Amino acid sequence: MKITDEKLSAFLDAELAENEMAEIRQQIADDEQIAMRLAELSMVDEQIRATYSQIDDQPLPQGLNDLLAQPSAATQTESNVVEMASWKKPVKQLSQFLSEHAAQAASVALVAGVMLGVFSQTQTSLPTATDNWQQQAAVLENSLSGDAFSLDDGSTLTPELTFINYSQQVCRQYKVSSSAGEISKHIACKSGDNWQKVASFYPETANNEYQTASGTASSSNVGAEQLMQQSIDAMISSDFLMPQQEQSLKQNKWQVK
Amino acid sequence: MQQQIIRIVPQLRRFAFALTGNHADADDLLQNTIEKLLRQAPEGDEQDLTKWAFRVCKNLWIDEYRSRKVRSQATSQPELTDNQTVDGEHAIQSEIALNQVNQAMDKLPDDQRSLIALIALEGKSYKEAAAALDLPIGTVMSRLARARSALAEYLKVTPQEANA
Repeated sequence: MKITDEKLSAFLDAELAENEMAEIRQQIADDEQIAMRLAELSMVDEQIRATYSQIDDQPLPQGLNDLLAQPSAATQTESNVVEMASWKKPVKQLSQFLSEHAAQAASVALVAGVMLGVFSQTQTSLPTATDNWQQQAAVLENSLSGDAFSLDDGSTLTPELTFINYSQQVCRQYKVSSSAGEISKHIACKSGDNWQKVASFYPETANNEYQTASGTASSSNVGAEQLMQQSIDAMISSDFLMPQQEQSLKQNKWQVK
Repeated sequence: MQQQIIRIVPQLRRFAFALTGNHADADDLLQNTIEKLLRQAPEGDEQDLTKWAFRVCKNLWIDEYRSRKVRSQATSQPELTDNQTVDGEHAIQSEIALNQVNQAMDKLPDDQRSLIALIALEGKSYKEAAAALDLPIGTVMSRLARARSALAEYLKVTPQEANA
């Protein structure tokens, strides 16, 4: 196989078939010029990222914050994207449970449509709850919502939302995409100096069909996303935090003053 | 919807910055994109919204911002900016790096610039980038490679010229 820039570029993005990836790996090992060319192309990405990520350090203009804070007509009229009303609609049983136990950082595993399990922190049967936890906690500590981070096991963690619970703890909802493409969602809260996982949500099927808020969940088969929304609804004490508020809290180690 | 939009603001903002090359235009473009999203976002899940948001942002950039390139280049000169930070040396170095990368990015065709921003900066897959820009995956692969090759060339030359 002739190693063109196109192949090397796709290799950098892991977008080639495994046999091609393997062949290029071998050629990189055998041919220093190919290795150098790959490094040059990779440096381009580094420079682009380093340059344009600078804007993350700049606060959002007030006008943009205001725009994001105000309820939109579209939000109020569209019903099948995210039903804001559903965030405000408590499910009594779950709400009460979470209100009572979230502050003690009980871990809750919710498998949509299959089971609703409650585990204490000392139990170890919670799927993936402790895997990579230190690394996950470090990402939660050092990142803002919307940024994706690769973990050592090949999974990707993306913080999605931040809010403050009734115990005045900062809580973050985040998504984990495994290297196999399975998606789970979680909530963790900052208790003292440590992050503690409060709830985990797994899709009913393992083939990437994570239930979204637009899913038409019935009472007998409630979508994981909807369960998560209900859980957040039971915990959240005010609105979700804006990016600027997140930035400020991050600098304060996620401690509410 | 509002929360979905808030979640994608950081990535959309970096994308806008990579397209426009300066903070002011990036935030202006971001605001226009969000206003359009709030008015007429398509029905669907977050993936649909993200795809649509990047496409709106790119189209607004092509329609409204490229003609302002002269202004962009002027405002990206360190001596012309009015937001110098306390850490002056670091800020100037950042501005110089930004100018170098902007000059290289300015030489790319629109689609190549959008692709390098989506994939190298935002970490999107070829499939996601293809959906956002309405291009076949094969075209994404070839144009991205051309963008990387061109940028490698421009960015290799520029520092030497700067030191000459």
